[in-house]
Amino acid sequence: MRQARISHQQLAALAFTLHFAATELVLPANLAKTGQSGGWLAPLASFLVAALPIALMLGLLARRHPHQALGELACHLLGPFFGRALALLVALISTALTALSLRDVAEVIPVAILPATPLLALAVPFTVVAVYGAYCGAEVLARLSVFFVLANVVIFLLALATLSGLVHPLRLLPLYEHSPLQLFVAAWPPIGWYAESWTFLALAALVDQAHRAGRGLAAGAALATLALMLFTALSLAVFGHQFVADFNFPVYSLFQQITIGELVERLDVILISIWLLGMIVKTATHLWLAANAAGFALGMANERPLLPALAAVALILMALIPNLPWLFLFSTTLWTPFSLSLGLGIPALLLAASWLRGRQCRQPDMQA
Amino acid sequence: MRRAIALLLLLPLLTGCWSRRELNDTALVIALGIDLVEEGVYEVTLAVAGSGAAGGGKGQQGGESLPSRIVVSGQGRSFAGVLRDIELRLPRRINLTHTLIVVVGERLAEQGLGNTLDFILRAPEFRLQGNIMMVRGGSVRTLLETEPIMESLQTKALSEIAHARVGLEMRLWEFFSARATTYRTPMLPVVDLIQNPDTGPEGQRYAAKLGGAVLLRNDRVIEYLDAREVRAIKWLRGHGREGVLTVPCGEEPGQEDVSFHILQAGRRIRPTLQGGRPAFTVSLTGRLRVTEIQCTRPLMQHEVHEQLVRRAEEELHNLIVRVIEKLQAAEADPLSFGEQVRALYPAVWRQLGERRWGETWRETPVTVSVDLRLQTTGLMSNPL
Repeated sequence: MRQARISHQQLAALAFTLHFAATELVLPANLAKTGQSGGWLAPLASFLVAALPIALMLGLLARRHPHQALGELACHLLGPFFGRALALLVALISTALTALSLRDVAEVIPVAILPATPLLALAVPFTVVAVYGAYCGAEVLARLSVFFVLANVVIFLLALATLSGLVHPLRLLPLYEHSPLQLFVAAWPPIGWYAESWTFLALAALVDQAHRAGRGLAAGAALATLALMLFTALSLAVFGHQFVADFNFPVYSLFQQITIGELVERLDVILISIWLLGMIVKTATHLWLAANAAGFALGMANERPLLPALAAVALILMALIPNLPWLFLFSTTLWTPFSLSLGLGIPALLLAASWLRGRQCRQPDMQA
Repeated sequence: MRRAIALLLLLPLLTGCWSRRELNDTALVIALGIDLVEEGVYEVTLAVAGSGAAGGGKGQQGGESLPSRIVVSGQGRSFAGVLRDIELRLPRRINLTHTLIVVVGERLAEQGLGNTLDFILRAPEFRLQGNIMMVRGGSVRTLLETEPIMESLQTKALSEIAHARVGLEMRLWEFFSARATTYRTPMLPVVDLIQNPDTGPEGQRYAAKLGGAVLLRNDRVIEYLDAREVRAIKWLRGHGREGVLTVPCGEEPGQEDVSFHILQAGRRIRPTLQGGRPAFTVSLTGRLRVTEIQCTRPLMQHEVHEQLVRRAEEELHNLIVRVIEKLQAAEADPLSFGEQVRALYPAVWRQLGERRWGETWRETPVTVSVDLRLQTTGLMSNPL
């Protein structure tokens, strides 16, 4: 599983998919609720607070310690106990992220296209596909994510072209109603989502040119931020922030308005198909990251046998999530501070350890 | 080989089918109406596409004529309850995906819509692309039972009239978007049930006509607009094209008229501040084509057509001013004037108070200017 290498462009596409796939449908309503007409600008603040510093720190770690995943790196820098503990933490968080991604799929699909399908009938096949994706490895998933990026560019341009007559640019103003702080309040949930990227070090370790891994992660996150801003801005400019805030999935509702003559009317289904592709990549990648870290923590040479077990745990966790409002509340309150602490804390800790280790190694040379 | 087997095993999972419904088991609703019967009791009427709908009229099967649509209704306190009640009488499951029109009864609109339309926003099958309108002069059921001219379905006929830019078109999402704010006034186009003209189907008492509109505040009707006023509203919304302006054509205004078809229509609404309070400048532009002239004045003479165009400008100016004054008197802003102040002067907007925009709008000065140009006189130059 760890042998395959990816380019930094593929890493960027994968990072884009991991950041954007779930936020695309779920976050715009939240951004409009708190950020109002300027909510579209909030992801930029999230990027600057969480995604960019984490990408830069991971990039620096990948450059200083090429081709080492988080567990291996921590083992090398902090000792075997901390290394295995950190790998276990990555495995737990990645499994939880797999469960959250599964739940997103199980919530969106019945509302959007398959109203009569029971939750497990959706989640179980999706999990099987995700397990297969994780089994194929990160390189296959990275290649798949390139299609997701291209499909999103195409569908956004199509939406822009067909909805341009309905766009009211003034609905994107004012940038804030009361104070600029409002934008940071709106940026809080995306910060939690973006901060998850500290677990991506195992992906950065796969990049063939290690010194470009940071660039790939930052570019992916920047592109995802831009895409979220554009999709949110389009929803706000058409519906107005009050109406967007009332939707559960405003981008989906926006795509329902697209018609090309009386011929092409169901572009919302295409949007959902593209979104599903992204969610498959996202879920499978989190599962792969979980297996990768768990395999290291348990000292296994081949992590693949862990995939079904981890998928089953994710499925159980997913079933324990009560409903969509709970998921929103959890994502916006508990998850963000937890995710941000780990996201900024662990890479910073590893960088500090790496710097200290570097100094210690240099000192004997200087004494000599 | 192993991957191929894995793929084969995964294939059955990708069908996505669960609780499938065949087309034969589905009642496709094409129009939906809701009206108030008494306090808290609503009548929901559904126009379901019949087998004859696809054929452009009444179809034939086994010697029996098939209706183009079936109208069913039920009464109850909630939409979901009424829907279940109707389903008990229908041999098919109701499907709302193809609902083209939502019709609100006059009584319900007068008494207040409340949350009666909440189901439209929640139901995933509603795509908010359909039109919403209010029926006047009869019940929702009567409207949906009326046979249209040249179309097999009344709903299709009404949405075609709206699409053709002749009447006011109000999409569901547009209506709900305005309703979600405190400063944009929702509008409902009005369908009048009028006495059937001779050309209608035999024995039919009513015909439907898309005419004026109503303005709503707090979900209740506060003002009616007639068809002429709706034309002004359409121009101010940026949909003035395809309208007609008729003005007197004699040297002195008299019985003879000239009609101009509006080929191009533009509008620009610019907010400014006057003494810390908002003011607006509305500039309308348009290009005209002479469609009919009843007098014998030489149109090719510059002075003549300039005079006629000036009259058209004056006519349009007066109409626009009158409509804006009417909107201000009703403290209604369906044209997003307030939204412009909110976007461009947020400090002033905060000071004025979002919820008190109606009162501010009432006092806001609006300057209207009209600039029309004659583009063509059609295939004829001067009248015979």
